[in-house]
Amino acid sequence: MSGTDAAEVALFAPAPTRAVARRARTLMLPTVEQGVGDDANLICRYADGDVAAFEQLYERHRAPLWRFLKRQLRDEAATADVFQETWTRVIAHADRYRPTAPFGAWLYRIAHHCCVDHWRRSGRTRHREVAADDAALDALPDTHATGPAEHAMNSQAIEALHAAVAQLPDEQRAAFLMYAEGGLSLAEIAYATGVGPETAKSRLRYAAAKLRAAMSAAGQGDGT
Amino acid sequence: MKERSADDHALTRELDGLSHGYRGRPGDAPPAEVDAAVVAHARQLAGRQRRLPAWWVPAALAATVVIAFSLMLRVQQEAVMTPAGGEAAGPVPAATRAAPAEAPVGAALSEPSPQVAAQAPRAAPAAVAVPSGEPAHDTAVPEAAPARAAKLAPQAGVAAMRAPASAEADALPEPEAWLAKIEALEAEGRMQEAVAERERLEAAYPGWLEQRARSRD
Repeated sequence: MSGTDAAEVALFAPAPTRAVARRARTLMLPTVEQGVGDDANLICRYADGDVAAFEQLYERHRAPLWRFLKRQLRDEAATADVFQETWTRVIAHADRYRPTAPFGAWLYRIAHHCCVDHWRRSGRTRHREVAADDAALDALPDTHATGPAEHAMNSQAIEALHAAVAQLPDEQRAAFLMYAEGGLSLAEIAYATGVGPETAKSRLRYAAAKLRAAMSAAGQGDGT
Repeated sequence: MKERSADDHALTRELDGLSHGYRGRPGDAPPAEVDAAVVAHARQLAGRQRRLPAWWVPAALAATVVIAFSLMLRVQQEAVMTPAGGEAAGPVPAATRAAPAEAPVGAALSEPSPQVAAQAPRAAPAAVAVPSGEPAHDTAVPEAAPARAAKLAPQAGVAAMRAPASAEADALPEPEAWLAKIEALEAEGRMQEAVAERERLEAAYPGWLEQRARSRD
């Protein structure tokens, strides 16, 4: 949600939302304005017993969250389990939600924790970032001049992109998927993954560079 | 700063491009049964999580601290009162009063006599004063009392803290008067009451009855 949207919601929303916005402004929290909106209002209403509010919220986030988890876990059954676990935690802790962060960031933070718990339970060794990433990033061509958005992607390139995302280390993939699927901002990704904004940015930068390299190899990168 | 902002902008632009290419399968969504399970769970728990007011946590913390502090004070006070009531109680014979002051507090607490348990609510200080099975104290001469009292002088502060206990002990009748009352009860044929009173007297002034009987002999 953009700042303007949030401001509009705060101005024209019903009383509970205005109360949330006032409280957020009083707390002077940096990311608060983004969290004050429909989602925050809906989860607050659900905590007060309004099931319709939850259904609306669920409808809004179900598909992106499902895709995020599916790409992270790469297993249909595990995705269903973790998806349900995430929403179970959201439901159980709805009363603890505070508009200090946008609902989306809170949701993906819970989902991220559920993923980590799942990996821990299943004994899977996480594919972590390595220091060699720095060297790999330096070796990649400068990708800022022109981006994939400026090229029409064919199905082959999309497949290559999906494959490259699957090959990313867990942290980088999580950061990229939160951006791509969840629509989270950099600060929100930092909050959701429990790291500083610079770390989150660094992960996104690595991920973008690797994806660009993979696309270049597939014939869709710069100069192709 | 400007350079950094441009850098962020470029990164965002690149990520947007990648995301645009990546989000190519909108049909990828949770199965209907998963949706149904989540919504059913949400319905089941709707409104059960009541939002707590903002002041709840500090209020709960403050209440916990107050309760913990008062409990601690009470326990501390009871620990101090328990072994020392005997010395604070005026009418208790010196022989019996001397016992708690000389016995370690820990010992007095860890080895209470059966009498202590029986008399705890009413005359705990005096009863705890003498650990069970210590007849040596019974034979102590009453004249030793002043000397012992002088020895105990540094504990005056502690005794002051035991004021409520000693007040209760003061309420006990003198043993002679108490015995006279018991004998009166026996004379009236109220034997049960007399026995009960005799037990209380024995608990409040352990060994006194025996000592008196010996002195009469």
